[in-house]
Amino acid sequence: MVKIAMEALASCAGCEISILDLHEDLLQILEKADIVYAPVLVDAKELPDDVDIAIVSGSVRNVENRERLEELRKKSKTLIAYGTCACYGGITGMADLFNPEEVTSRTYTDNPSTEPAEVPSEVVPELLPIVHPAGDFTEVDYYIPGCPPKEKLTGDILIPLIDGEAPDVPKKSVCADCQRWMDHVEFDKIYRRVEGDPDPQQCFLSQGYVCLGSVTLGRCGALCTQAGVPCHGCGGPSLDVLREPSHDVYNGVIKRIAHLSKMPEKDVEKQIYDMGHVIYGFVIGSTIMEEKLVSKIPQLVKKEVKR
Amino acid sequence: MEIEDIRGNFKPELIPKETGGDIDDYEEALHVLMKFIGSMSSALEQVSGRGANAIVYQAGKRMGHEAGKLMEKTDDVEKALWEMGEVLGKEFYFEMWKPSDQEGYTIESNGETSVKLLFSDCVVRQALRRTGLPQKGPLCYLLYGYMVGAVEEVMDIKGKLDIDHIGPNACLKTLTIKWGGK
Amino acid sequence: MVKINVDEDACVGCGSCVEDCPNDVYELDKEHGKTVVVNEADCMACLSCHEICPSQALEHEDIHVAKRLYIDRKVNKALEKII
Repeated sequence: MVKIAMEALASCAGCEISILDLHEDLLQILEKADIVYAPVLVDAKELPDDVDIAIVSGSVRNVENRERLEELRKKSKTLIAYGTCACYGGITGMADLFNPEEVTSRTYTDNPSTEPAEVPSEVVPELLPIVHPAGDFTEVDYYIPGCPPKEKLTGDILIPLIDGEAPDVPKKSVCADCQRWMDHVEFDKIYRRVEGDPDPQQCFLSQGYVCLGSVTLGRCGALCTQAGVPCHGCGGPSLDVLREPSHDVYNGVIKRIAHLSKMPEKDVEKQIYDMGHVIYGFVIGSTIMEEKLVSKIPQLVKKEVKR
Repeated sequence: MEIEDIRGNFKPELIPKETGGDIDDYEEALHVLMKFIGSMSSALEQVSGRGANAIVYQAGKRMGHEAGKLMEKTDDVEKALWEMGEVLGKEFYFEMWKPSDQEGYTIESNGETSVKLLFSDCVVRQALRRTGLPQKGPLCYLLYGYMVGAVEEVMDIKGKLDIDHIGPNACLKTLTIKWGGK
Repeated sequence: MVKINVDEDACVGCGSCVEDCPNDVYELDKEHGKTVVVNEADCMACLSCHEICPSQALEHEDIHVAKRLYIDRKVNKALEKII
């Protein structure tokens, strides 16, 4: 039997639940594998020493997360960074828009909806200066981005991996899955996601909404755009954006909108709002994305001032 | 990242190991150089505007003339280009290109000969993509100058190069040669 | 000989490749809203169409693939591990 362990670091545990979403495929997995440790799903309290496949979700935000990750690496043969947080910092990376003091004071001393209390000095682990994806601290064997990775994809990957085979899954952008048609339409105003009533058939970009579909790794079935919501980029950057130092989520979207609308790029840039959330919401923590010379992440991240 | 202080012995008559490095060192040096060049190009453009193109063009032309001196003189464009390909080498791999319905590579009109060149590998393009600068900027004039310089040297004529199309994998340029001396 | 494959399921029919290609390799099939390859012989493998395609629907076979030494090996290593 293949021994599988799962650990959630700084995350919502949605990734673990997404594995439960395999439904009947889960039985197929459990024929060949045991889930020996998964705080969200099973009762085991300690991580065994000889794990075959360790699935880690969530980002590394505090010293405890880092310790757990290092232990997981030590005790497993294959370590999978599962979900966008573990791969690129994900949505938890948005904490980097504030420094650790602001984050803790918001939680403990300065939260408008609770009674103020002192910042705890014990039990609660110390925050790291910024949010890190798992790959920043250990060697990771596989990355599976997605928020969470959809059950079909997870099945297509996990089942071959347990059998010791190489999974073969598509790696195209969200647009490849999206059923909307993209048009060249001249316009000069960018709408916020809450404004207006978008056409259900036409591409969001052609209608002046910021949709990250073309710069985001898909395999999600374009569920959001089908439901009438522009892509937020939860799958992390598409592989060409990740690969090319000259490509970035920001410039990719600006160029696309400028190209479709015939607006000058400068005018598009002026209308982009809340960049940390709308453009970089899921990749702020990624070192690869931050190190690009064209990236705007360095100017968004608030680093702790060392005194 | 920790920076290691490399200590070793040095003798004038030997090349000690410590002056070399592994692929990681070469990669880092290459990428730093690409970033420098990119930054220099945008600074040049900022300070001297379109003059930047002329400066880089001149630099390329000088290199082209130097390279051309090593090549055999010829009147045949195709032969000259083939030889230049050899000298430019793998880092600027180019070949002549023509649309499928055109017969030969060269087109003659008004006493000028033009030939389309497809540049596949190009260090300039790589440097631009490293830094995220747009293609067709001042740095591309380096290759302009180089080709023109080399052609002028080899064939004793006047030439010019224009960019038709840029792409991430190849760029198409037209080399036009004016017969009848410099 | 260059061969171009269009993933019809992926193509969103924006026609950007048709517009961008200098050699008129593509045409937009207006009825089905998909790109079709009409002039493969004139493709010079500049791959501008790859860069502009939002849905990564295009694939070129048997072309000269330009060196991309500018990509960090660290990035390549991470890319290989993404499944």
